[in-house]
Amino acid sequence: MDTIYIERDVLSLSRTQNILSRYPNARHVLVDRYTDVFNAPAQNFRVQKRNPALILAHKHGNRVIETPPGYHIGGENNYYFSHMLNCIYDCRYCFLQGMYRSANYVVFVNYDDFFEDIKRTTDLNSSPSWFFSGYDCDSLALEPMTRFIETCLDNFSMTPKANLEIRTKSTQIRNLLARPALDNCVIAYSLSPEEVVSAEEHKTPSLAKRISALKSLQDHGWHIGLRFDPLLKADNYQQLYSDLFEQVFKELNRSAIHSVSLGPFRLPKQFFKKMIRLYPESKLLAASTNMRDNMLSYDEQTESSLLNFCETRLQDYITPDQYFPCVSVS
Amino acid sequence: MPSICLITALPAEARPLITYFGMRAIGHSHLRLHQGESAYLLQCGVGKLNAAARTAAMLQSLPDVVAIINVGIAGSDRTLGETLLAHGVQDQASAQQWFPHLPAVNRLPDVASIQVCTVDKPSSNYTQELAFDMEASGIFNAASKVLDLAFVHCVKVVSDNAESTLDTITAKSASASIKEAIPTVEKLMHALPFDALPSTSAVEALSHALTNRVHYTATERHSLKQLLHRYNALFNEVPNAQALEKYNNAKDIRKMLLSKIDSAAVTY
Ligand code: SF4
Repeated sequence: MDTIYIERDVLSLSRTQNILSRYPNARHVLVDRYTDVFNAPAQNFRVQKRNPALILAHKHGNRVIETPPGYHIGGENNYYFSHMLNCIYDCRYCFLQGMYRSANYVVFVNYDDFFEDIKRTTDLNSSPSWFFSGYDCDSLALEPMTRFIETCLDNFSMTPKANLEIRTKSTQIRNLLARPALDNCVIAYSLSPEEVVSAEEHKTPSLAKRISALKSLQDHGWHIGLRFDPLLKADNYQQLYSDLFEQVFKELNRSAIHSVSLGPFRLPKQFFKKMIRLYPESKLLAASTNMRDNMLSYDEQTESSLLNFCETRLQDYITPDQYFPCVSVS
Repeated sequence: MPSICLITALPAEARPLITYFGMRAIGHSHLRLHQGESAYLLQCGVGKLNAAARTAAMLQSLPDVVAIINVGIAGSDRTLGETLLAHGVQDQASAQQWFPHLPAVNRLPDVASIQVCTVDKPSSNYTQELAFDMEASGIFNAASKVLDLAFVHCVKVVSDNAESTLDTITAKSASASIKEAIPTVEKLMHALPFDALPSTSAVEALSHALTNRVHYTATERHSLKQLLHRYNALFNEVPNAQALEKYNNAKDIRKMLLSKIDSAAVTY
């Protein structure tokens, strides 16, 4: 980390100081509000992605938000939260590139406020609630620096009526393996064929490493989730996804998998327009132009062939109660 | 290296840069401009209004300029002659601020960064955290309308502090200060992240050739560029210019490009 912007109000917090101590050579820049830097005009996401700065901030309000309809894994009350904005990985389909002006990482250091809001929201509902982490970031990728998930799990261990999904592509699982698994937590990995990982999911762990992390987590007793999301069209998609399912399921205890979901490739039109300006050489974006209801998606026929094919293949490996059709982040 | 423009306020600040970069004057009706092999130099005059107006005029007049570095002297409670890189620029009067996206620390390892505060009148309220100048906010205001802030920077050399106040500055001392900053300026020029930008030259050239030959409305021109980019992404090359010669109107060219794009194979 070369440059760290710090909101004046959080400078003295021990969490801030701990994070700062990890980067002794970084420049420190004090700011009033993180939005002054993060939302400023005249930024280039692609250029910043080269050496993103870190922004340490306080999240005021809106910490726990209801998920869009259809975003659930069987629960009735569903919410998401983001202790971070942006991601160390660089997936070409990622909606964050179109949503934010800046590729700098924002870490909200007032973790306890998140946990209070989660507890309050849980108490409001009579049935159990689900909280999804990893909507505006990868939940685990910066865990060695933030230790958010570690603190989060401590809190969820005391709130059995609240369930947590940790969505990730990261293999930073040392802390998870060093503690007992929680019954109210699912570690969900986004998975794509290795060919897609190499071509489109830049800087992410390989498919093999993700499968190996899943296996270790499962062996340790954690509930695991598989998110085949987004499903990308390709002339050879049948081969790609058949191979992917084969590779994944042969390594895991299938009956103990908590949930499996498929996510179609979708992007809001405005995000897509920005992304194609940033990455005009991207094959993935160049091949995708079908707009439906202000969303970029594949044409209906392509999308349903992809989904139907994958659903049918999944039936060879899992039972219907493990399957949730669309848990899409974008 | 793509074109960079160095901007100074005073002739005394400009002189060492002109000499070092081997620049010569370019005749311009109302701008003081110099050009060398690796950069242009604009001498914008004193104050943020001059700085903003002349930066905007320069950017219009030299559309190939894709980066700007403001180089100048500033007051701060730091060691005289210390070279500093702005991590933020604030206009004191309006409180508006800009945050240039700085290169990696290892590209400029010995250069400290500071908040530059642009004042309307010279200030002697020296602190360690601020460097006072009179132009940076004007330059950032104008440049940020056109350029991304990874390509707009500000290098200041401490010319006055509590022990050696403003009235001690001479043209000679200002030139000497800027001379000290030249290695930093040069490193910064080389650290600008031009290579992170997509290469668009092949598409630009073909689009230019086509719009010269065939009539295109502004909207059609925009969509032509998009199609050429998509074609380029899918086939790893732009369409063959000769093969396009048989098409004599924008509609036919569009139809042909779309049909190729739609039939492009996408495999992983
Ligand atoms: S891992 Fe997720 S959040 Fe990170 S870049 Fe990829 S899609 Fe975006």
